[in-house]
Amino acid sequence: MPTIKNFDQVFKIAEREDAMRMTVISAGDAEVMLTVKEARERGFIEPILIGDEDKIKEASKGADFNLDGVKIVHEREPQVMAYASVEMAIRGDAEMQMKGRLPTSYLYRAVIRKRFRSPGVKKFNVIDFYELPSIDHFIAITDSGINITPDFETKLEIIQNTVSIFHLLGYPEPSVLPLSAAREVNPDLVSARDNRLLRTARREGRVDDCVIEDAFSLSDLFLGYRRYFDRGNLDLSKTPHIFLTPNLDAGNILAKLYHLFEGVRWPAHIIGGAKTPVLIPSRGDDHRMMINNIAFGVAIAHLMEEKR
Amino acid sequence: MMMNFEDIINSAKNRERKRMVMPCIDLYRSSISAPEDQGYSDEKSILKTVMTAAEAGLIEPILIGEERRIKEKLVSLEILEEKTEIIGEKEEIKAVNRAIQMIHDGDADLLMRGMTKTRGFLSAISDKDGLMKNNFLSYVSLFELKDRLMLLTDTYINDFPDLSRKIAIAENSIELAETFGIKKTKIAALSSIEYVNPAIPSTVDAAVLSKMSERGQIDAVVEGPLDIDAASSKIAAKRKGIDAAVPEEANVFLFPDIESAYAFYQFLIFLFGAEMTGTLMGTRSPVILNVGIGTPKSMVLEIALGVLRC
Repeated sequence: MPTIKNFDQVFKIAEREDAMRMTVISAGDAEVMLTVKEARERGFIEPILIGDEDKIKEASKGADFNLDGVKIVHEREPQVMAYASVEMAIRGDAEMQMKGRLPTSYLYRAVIRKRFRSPGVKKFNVIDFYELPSIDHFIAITDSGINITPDFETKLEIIQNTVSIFHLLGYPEPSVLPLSAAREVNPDLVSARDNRLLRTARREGRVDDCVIEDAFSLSDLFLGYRRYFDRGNLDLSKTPHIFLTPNLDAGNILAKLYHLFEGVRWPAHIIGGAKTPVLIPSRGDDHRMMINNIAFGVAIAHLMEEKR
Repeated sequence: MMMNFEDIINSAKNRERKRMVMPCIDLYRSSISAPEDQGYSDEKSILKTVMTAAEAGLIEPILIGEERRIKEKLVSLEILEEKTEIIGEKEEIKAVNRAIQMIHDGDADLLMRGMTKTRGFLSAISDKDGLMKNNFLSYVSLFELKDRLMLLTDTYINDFPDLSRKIAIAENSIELAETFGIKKTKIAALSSIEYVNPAIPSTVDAAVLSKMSERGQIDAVVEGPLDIDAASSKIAAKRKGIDAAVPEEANVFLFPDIESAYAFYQFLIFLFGAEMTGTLMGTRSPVILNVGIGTPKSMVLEIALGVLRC
C-alpha cells in the first residue's frame, strides 16, 4: 500500500470508496450541517443525524440541505446522544462518528467504554493531523484533548495509539518527538525525564515500531539548522511524524495554532485508541476545515476495514 | 505605534546611540572549535551582529575580555577595532560582574550576554548586586502577525508560573507593549479550553486574570481562558459564544506554562517560517539575552529593543 502523505490522497480515497455511515452527534448546527451536506454530496458519508429533531431541521434549512432519506435519531439529552452514537458504532450500524455541537466531555464519557476500545488499549487521546507546505508527510500533534497531565505510562499509551494510525496510513516506522522545554536555564523538567524514559521503553519493545527522536525540541532536532537558514530555506524533511506534548495545554495550543495563519491545509482531529474513527472538530472550525476532517475519517475507516 | 520589526529598528535608530557592554570571553579556547552548527551563538556571529548594530548607529560597543585576543579577532573578521572600547578581563564571571558594575556606574546603558553561559549570566543579573528591578524576570518573544507585533510570554524564564507570577509576567508584557506605543494592551490568557475547568489549573488562572483586569487590578484588557482558535479568530470566538475585544486583536499571548510557550515559539520558527526576536523583562537597564536559536537579524532586533527601552 502506498503511504498516504497529504489531504489530496485522503480525498481520493474518500471519493473512491463506498460512503461510510457516520453519526453526527448533536447535529443541530448550521456549520456542521453545511459540512455534512457537502460530504454526502461528494459520496464520502451517509449521515445519521443525532439530536433535537427541530433544531436539526432548522439547521438543515440554513444549510439548504434536503433531509429526504437521511436518518434522524431524535434525542435532546447530550449524554444520551453520545451514548446512542457509540452504541451504533459498537453494533456496526455506523462506521464512524463525528462530534457536532456537543461539549466534548459527553463524547469522551461515552467513547471510553471498554467495548469501544481497540484490543489492548487502556487510554484514549486526541490526535491532530496536519499537512504543512514543504513537508512530504503528515505530522500529528497529540494529546490535545483528553489527558491533562499524562504520566509516563499514559504517554506510552498515547504514542502507541498514534503510531497505530500512522501504521495504517502506510508509515512503517514513524518518528516521535516527545517535546520538552528542557533548556540551558532549566534542563530538569519532568518532560525531559519522560523523554529519556520513552526512548528506553522503545528499545525494550514496549511500543510498536517507531523511532523516538533523541531530541527535546525542534531546535535540538534541527541541530545544524544554521546552514539551512543561511541558504534561505530550512530543510524540513527531518520533521518528526508525531509530536507528543507534555500536557494538554501545550497539545491543544499547538494543535490549533493554524488558526493564526492562512494557507495551511486544515488539520483533522481524531481520537486515538478507538475501534472505529471518532472525529472531533474544534467548535471553532468552519465547514472548510471540517470537510478535511471527514475525508480523513473516511480514509481511516476504510484502512481499518481493510486491515480487518 | 510600532507595527512591525522595521518600525522597531527605525525608532531605535532615531534614538541617541547607546553604550552597550558585552563580556567577550572565549569559552571554547580549550575545545577544538565553537559549535557553529548549533546556530549563531558562536563568538564570530555575535561579534559580527554587534558590529552590524554599531554600524546602524544603534550602539557603541564596549567589550570586556582579553584585549589582545579580541583585537586579533576583530582584525580577522575585518572589523575596524579602533572605534571599539575593550576592557581587559580574563575570567567569565569577573567579566560579567564588571559589565554589571559599569551599568551601575553609568558607564554603559545596556548589557548583552554575548557567549557567556546563560545560567551563570542570569544568576549574576538576579544577584542582589545585579540588575533586578522588582525581583522578577520574564521573557517576551515577538513576531510579526499580519499587521501588528505579537508578543508571546513567558517563552524562556519561568517554567510553571503560579497566579502571582502570571500577574507579574502580564505586567512585564504590558510594559513592553507600552514601549511600542500600544495604549491599552489586549492580552489573551491562553489555555486548552475556553471554559473554566477546575481540573485544568490554567483555565482558573486565566479567569482570575481576566476578572482582575475587569476590576482595574491589571492595566490591560485580559480575556481568558481562551483557546488558541478563539484567541486568533473573531469568527471562531463567536462560534464559541465569546463576544469580546481580544479575539483576533490580542497584542499578547500569555501562555499557561513553559512547555506550551517554548514549543509554540519553536513551531513558529521552524514549521511556519516566522522571524522571531525577544527581550528579557524585569531588569533596571535593558539586558540582551540573545537566547539559543536567534539569527543575526533577531539579535540586531533584540539590541534595538534594548535601545528603545533605555
